[in-house]
Amino acid sequence: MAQSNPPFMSGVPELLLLRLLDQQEMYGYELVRSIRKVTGEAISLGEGVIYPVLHSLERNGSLKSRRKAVSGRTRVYYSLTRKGRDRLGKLQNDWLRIQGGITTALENPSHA
Amino acid sequence: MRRRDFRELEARLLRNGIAPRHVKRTLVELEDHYRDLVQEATDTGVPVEDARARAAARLGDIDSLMAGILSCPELRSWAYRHPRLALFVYPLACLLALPAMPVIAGVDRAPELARWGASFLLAGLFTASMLLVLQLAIVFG
Repeated sequence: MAQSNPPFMSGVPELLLLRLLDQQEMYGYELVRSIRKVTGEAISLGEGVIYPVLHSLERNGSLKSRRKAVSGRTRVYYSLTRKGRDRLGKLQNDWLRIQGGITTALENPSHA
Repeated sequence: MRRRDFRELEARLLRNGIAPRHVKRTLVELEDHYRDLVQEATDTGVPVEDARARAAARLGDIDSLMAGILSCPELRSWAYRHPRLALFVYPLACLLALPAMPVIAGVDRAPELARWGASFLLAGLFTASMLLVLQLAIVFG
């Protein structure tokens, strides 16, 4: 049985989506597969849950979308905007700062 | 997920105030994602029924999908977020649009209106000519 994600995972899907879309435009199914691949399946997202996150990011201007017909099906491809890149930079910095702090605390508990 | 599950999801999202355009797009994307998952499983030799069950499990059940979408309040419709304002604005907008309705309807039905106008004009000319003939008959008769 797959492990569920802990509660402190809030915000991580957003960071991963922005990071992946910084490289190339993708559609939902492709994004979920990429997340599983780049995280070594350590992070499991309910696959349908990705769409509200994408829609919210588009609504706040971090992403833009376009419809593309592929094999008789219409797919919605997402890509990063300038605002999204700024947001990605901020989230990355926040993540690295928190990660560094937690790592320090775990390695040197006596200083906590 | 069967088609009726998607329809149920659609109805529940709309009832909970998610903007119709977000509901429509979410359903398009979910159905496409579901088809990709089924395809992925059948490509590895899984029977179609099993592939559908696996795809539905990976996509998430209706409750988990609902929870994910409802956790984004910005996806709710404007009228749902500001119900009191909507009660004032919508009737006012309808009232202001009322005078434009005949024009819109006229543009929309322009060919029928043109035919009706031409018929009315011809009928009028015919009646007038008949009356003129009758009048002349009386005068010179």
